[in-house]
Amino acid sequence: MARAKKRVGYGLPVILAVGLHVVVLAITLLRWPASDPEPTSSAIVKATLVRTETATDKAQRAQEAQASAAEAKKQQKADQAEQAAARAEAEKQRQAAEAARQKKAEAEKQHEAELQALTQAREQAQEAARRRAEEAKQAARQKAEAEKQRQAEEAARRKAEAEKQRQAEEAARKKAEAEKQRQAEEAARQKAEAEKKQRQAEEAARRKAEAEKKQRQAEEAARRKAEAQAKRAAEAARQASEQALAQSIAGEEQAIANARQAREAANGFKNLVKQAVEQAWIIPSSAGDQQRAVVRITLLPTGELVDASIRESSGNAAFDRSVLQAVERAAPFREMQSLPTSAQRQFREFNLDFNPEDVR
Amino acid sequence: MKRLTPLLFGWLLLFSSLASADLTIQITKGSDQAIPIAIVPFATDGAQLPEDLSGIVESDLSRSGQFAPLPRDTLVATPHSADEVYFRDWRSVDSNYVLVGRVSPQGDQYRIRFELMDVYGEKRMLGEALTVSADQLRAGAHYISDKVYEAITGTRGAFSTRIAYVTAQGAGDKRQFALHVADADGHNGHQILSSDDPIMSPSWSPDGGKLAYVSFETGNSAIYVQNLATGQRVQLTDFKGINGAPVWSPDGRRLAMSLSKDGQPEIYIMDIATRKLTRITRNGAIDTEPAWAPDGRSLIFTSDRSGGPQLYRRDLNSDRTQRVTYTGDYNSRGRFAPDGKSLFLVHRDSRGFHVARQNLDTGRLTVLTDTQWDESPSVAPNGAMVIFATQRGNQGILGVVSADGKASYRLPSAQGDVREPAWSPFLN
Repeated sequence: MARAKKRVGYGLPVILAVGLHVVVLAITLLRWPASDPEPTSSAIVKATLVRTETATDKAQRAQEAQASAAEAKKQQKADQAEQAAARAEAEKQRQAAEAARQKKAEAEKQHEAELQALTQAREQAQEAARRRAEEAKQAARQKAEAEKQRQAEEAARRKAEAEKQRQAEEAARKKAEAEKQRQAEEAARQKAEAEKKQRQAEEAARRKAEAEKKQRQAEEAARRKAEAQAKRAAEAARQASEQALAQSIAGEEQAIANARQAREAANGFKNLVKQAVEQAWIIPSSAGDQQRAVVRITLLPTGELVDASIRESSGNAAFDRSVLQAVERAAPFREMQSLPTSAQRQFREFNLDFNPEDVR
Repeated sequence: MKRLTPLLFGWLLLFSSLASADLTIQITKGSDQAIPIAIVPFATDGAQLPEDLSGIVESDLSRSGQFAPLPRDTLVATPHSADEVYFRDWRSVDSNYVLVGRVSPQGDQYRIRFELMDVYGEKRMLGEALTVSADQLRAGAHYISDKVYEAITGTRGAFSTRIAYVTAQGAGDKRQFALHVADADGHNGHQILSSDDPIMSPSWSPDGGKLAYVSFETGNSAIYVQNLATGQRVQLTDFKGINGAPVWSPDGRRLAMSLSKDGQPEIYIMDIATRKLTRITRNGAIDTEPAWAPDGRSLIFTSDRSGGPQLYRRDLNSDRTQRVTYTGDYNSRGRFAPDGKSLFLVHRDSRGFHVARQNLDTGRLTVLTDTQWDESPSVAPNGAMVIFATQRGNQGILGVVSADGKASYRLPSAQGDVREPAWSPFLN
């Protein structure tokens, strides 16, 4: 309240305060760049980093340890000098920073007083503006009400017009509908008449076709009967001649079948011997790449082994012995008894050719 | 050509007539079974033996993967000499062979007689007698295994050989390293050297009397040679940098090794008598792990000159070097099979590091093991088995695999880590 009365005397202090503020701000802006780059801790981090490195070095191999220890010591000394320099530099920077900080604090105090004065001035200005705004708002409200009334009148007028138009359209629509219905009824009547005519024509045609079909069926039946009779006669003749032919070649076929059976049985027995001997053969580790032995075998008709002897030696005693053992272990070959006699004959004596494929 | 034609014709005629007269069945495959053999416990004439001789023979033969000894409780008879063997008995249990024997004390020694019978051939294949002291009973059993193995398979047995290996025990500063020599079956181990510093790469001299190895006892790696009978040792190298991977030449007069004295590791050959060095490789890559071909005319070694480790072969006459391995991107630590026809090596595939065999004619590489961290393969002198180091849990152990990969076993492990096995040459 007291201040409000003295409002006239306020201008000069405000100008003075603002001026001082500007000056102080200018000074701090000029001073700051010089004291800015001083991350004083970075020098210390670098030093510890070097120390951890030497520690890991120490943990490494004994042979390298001494060399790297000397290296590390040298580096440590250099680091200490470097650290001292860094420390002095840091101190200098710290003092400069301190002076700057004090100056800055004083400036800030003044700046605060000024701010207070400024705030009051601003508040008064805001009050005046608020009042002005209030007046403007009221004027606007009145104007808006007048506008609303005008719009209502306009709307009523438009509505009346629209109703008139709608009634006219409704009348036109009803008239058109009545016309459409009349046309549809006329079309339906004409269509029914045409349909009746067509139905009568179709009935006549259908009756005629039926009569024709009956005649065709009678003719077909007669033809089929004649054909069947001819076919039966031909079939009987063919069967008679075929039977005669079959009888004449039956003997020959039997002979061929017997031979094939014997051959198949012989092949089966061959595979069986091969499998049994291969299963029983333990190839000695001294067997070379090209080693091979042939064994002569004599069997009884019962499949029992009469004799097995080396016919071609491999030159390796262990190999020769292994093939004879394989034959002995695989025998007797009792399946021989079930061979046809003709096949048995070729297995009374035969050769086994031992020739391993997969020796390393 | 003109003269050949009638000859060819004659042969064709001969064969066609043979074919019509004789039926021949082709046998092209064998079975994967091991050879069944009956090992009848040896008669002891009432004496208590410190060792079960036939039991040792049984486990020797069985470990090879090539024999399937009949379980003792299925033996149909217990003969102790050839004239007590009825072949029909053994035929009925499908046993191809029968081994019988008798041990009799003679003073403080033992006389061992053994006989091997071929059941289907119905004849005696072996009959021998030997006299041993009590502490040689195991050796006697291995001798019998060797004889039986050779008589049946045609390949010399390697049961009487030995192995050298390195152990590491303890942790940190207390870690102790030792070099051991033991029988091929892992028994009878002796420590021949111990050290606070690592010991590496033992290698047998061809006469089996000495070991070359690398020791770090001076602070740097150096190659030593130690006489196994006297224990006497000689320091052979003391070069700057790596002194590694010594291997004896087949004639025993030279050592191939890897030295980094001129920069990165290169292969050198040292004449043992004169200590004269010959540099073999000369390039910017690492060359190491040399091994001699059995004929001594070439060396293989590991080199990363192609980017990753691969094996190369250096002909010592022509000085030509050829890359040998092409399968996969990691092949190292090659060793020749005694016949020189294949290599055993460490091969890495998607499942880890395995012992593998590469046929040198075909170039085909076959992985032999399914363990994951295999290293240092060393071949038995008969080429039938390969010993190697691998990991089980966190422990280094020794494994053995047959040259065809079909059989494998682990050696009874000593305490601590076991590594870098080296199989001796034949010792008898």
